[in-house]
Amino acid sequence: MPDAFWFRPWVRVAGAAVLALLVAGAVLVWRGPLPAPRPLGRDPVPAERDFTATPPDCGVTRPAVAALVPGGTLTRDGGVPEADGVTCEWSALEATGRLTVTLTLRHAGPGVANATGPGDSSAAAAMSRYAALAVETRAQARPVAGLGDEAFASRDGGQGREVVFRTGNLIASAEYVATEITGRKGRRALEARLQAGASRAAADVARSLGVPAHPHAAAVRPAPAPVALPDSACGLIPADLRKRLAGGDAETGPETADPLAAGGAVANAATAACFVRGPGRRLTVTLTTGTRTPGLPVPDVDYEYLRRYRDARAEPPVSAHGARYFHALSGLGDRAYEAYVEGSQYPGETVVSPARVVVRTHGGVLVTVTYGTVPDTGSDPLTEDDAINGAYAVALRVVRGVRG
Amino acid sequence: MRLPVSRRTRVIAALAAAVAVAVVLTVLVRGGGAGAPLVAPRYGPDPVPALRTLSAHDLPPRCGVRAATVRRYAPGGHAGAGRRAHCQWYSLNAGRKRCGFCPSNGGDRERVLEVVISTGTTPTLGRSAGGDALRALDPAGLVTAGTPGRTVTGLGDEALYRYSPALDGGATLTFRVGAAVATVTYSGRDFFTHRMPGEVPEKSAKPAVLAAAADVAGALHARARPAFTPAGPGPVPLRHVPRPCDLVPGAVAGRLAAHATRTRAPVPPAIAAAVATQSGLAADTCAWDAARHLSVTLAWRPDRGRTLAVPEATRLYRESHEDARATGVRALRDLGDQAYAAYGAPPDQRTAEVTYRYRDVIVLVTYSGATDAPLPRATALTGAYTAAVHTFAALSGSGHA
Repeated sequence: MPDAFWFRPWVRVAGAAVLALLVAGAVLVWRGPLPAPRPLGRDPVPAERDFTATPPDCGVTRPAVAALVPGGTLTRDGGVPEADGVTCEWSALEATGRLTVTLTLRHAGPGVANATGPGDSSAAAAMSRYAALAVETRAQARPVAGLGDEAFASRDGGQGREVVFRTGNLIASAEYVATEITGRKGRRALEARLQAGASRAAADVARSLGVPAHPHAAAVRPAPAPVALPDSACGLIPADLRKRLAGGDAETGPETADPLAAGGAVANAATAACFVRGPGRRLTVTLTTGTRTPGLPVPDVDYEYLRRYRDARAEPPVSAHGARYFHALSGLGDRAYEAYVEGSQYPGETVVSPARVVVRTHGGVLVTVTYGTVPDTGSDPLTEDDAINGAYAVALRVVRGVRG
Repeated sequence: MRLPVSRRTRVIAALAAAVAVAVVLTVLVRGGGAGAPLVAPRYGPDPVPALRTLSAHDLPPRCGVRAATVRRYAPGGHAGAGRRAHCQWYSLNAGRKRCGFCPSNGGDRERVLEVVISTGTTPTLGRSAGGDALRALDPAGLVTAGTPGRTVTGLGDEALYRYSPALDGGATLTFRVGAAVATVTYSGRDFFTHRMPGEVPEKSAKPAVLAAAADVAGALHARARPAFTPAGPGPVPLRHVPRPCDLVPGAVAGRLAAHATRTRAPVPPAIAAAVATQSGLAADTCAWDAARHLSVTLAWRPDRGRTLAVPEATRLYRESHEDARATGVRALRDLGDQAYAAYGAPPDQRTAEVTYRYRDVIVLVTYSGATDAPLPRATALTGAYTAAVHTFAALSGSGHA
């Protein structure tokens, strides 16, 4: 082809256009120092059990009833598989005790109306309820080992003892109440008898469910040392990163609610937060610390991390063909995960399909980063990769800042 | 070398064609969806007649219970001749001991026959008398309270029996005549000297409520021959309930709510109220939100077998249909097994709703404009109906059935 061809005006214009497209494409593809791929870890959380029915007579055996409530008759409330729970109570005029066992099933996921939030793990929903029970009995709760996934024992407020345990999506409580009146001298022996009775009934229930059924007192661990948080998390997000993710004119502020906090398990939490809102984009960062609820097996922050982890792992996309991504991460804090689910939206939030990176730092801070698209602004939606990379980049810097 | 003119023309024409194809593809991908036609609603006669309410004058003296029935099951009890909507007969030791609700001792036998008739003239706020009456007879609603009810045939329009000493103190038989609901309860306790009191046994309570309910139904000019007839297998439920986002083709969603992002959304109030009060009801909602809002909700009971799945969905549909009458409801043809359209329901009163049942699944499609730019009624209804037609095509023709 002669050189004259390349110097024709329309050929030069077309060539310039092609060059401009190539440059624009390169700029779009090269997005700067966002960290990808991330170091992925193996999934450390075992799959949860999902019970759909409760055992007959709440799982309590006849020998246990004969020993605890001699001559006792059973009254049941509920007991159909689709109900939320069942209560079995044994009592008798001649007996000096009354035994009440309540089993509660929690269900979550698409199709299940879940008033506590967008959770999709039935076990996580049960964790929320279990944590609430532990908080209610905060002062009296004592951790119990060897029973279900987690258990605690407490006074029931009157002359009785209660053992509560959770396994998968099922929460069981066994309450043994004395109907006899004792003097001060006999009280200690009575309390020991009530505790042993409640434990025996709870162990029966656990055995009927095929889960650990050897309750014994666990060591009471001290609460973690308090961690000082900054007034706002905004200072932990570098300005260039903020600009890259939400645009130069992004609005920033410290007041925001943690979008993942619905149904949360952290009692008396201290938080520091930041939101960054630009055209079609919203980024949130929340730092959370807490103490230790006596009935929970781990500090509140660790418990909440596990609850969120299970929910994120179980969450499906809106469509059978929708994008979904969930991974445990390594090298980021003490433990971390990242998630992206197409169509996910938190109650009261405008962000659609936010990527989430949640980190439990070595210092005991729960770092939650969300980054997603705000529709209706004319901006193109974030891609799955862009959303996750952006959230991860922020989490990396925030975790470094918290540690520093 | 110069290209021949004809060849240059072909190159330019090819470039122009490529640009045109790119533009069309962009419009389609971006949600223009101009190719998806709208479908005007096909209205038809309402196959669900409105339920009739009763007036106070329709209620018989002493709730319609015959004196012979009282003598047999609550001897010595007196309801008072002026009572019509709420009657109660208290009997202690077969009428030999006269003491109204006094503390009882060992050996005493207490029986209480009670009838309550709701005429349906004061419906729950935001609902209808017919919907309230249907819900009162909903077996799923009673399951929530602990003990499932058993269907009774030949009594009123429909009837439900339950024996639950813990909840009712005995047996209860509830039946419906139009939008009126009568509840007959037979309760009581046997007192022992050295044992806890025992509730009235079912072998005594069941015939009592059946006899009294037959009296009441007869006095209300309704069917009055109660019988327990086991239900046979019902119609086949859907094998698999899909995600609602997968039921609306992209072109249709793009036409109705351009540039929208689809999300999993909260269940609309019409279905959420049922989910909150009825056991085992599942619901899943997909929303397309932009300048216009489209949502599709599926509601079903995943744990019901073939006997109950479709009948209970039919009941839920009818409850919804009755409640929607308040805002003006029009029955639709050729959409699922039964369908209606409504416009103007709370809270915004600018939303079109198309509700239909297909086998055991209730489908609710809502369509509306922005708060400051509401859609005209006809436009909103056409949009909702168009989406509904596509959801039905997907539900019925893609292997879910």
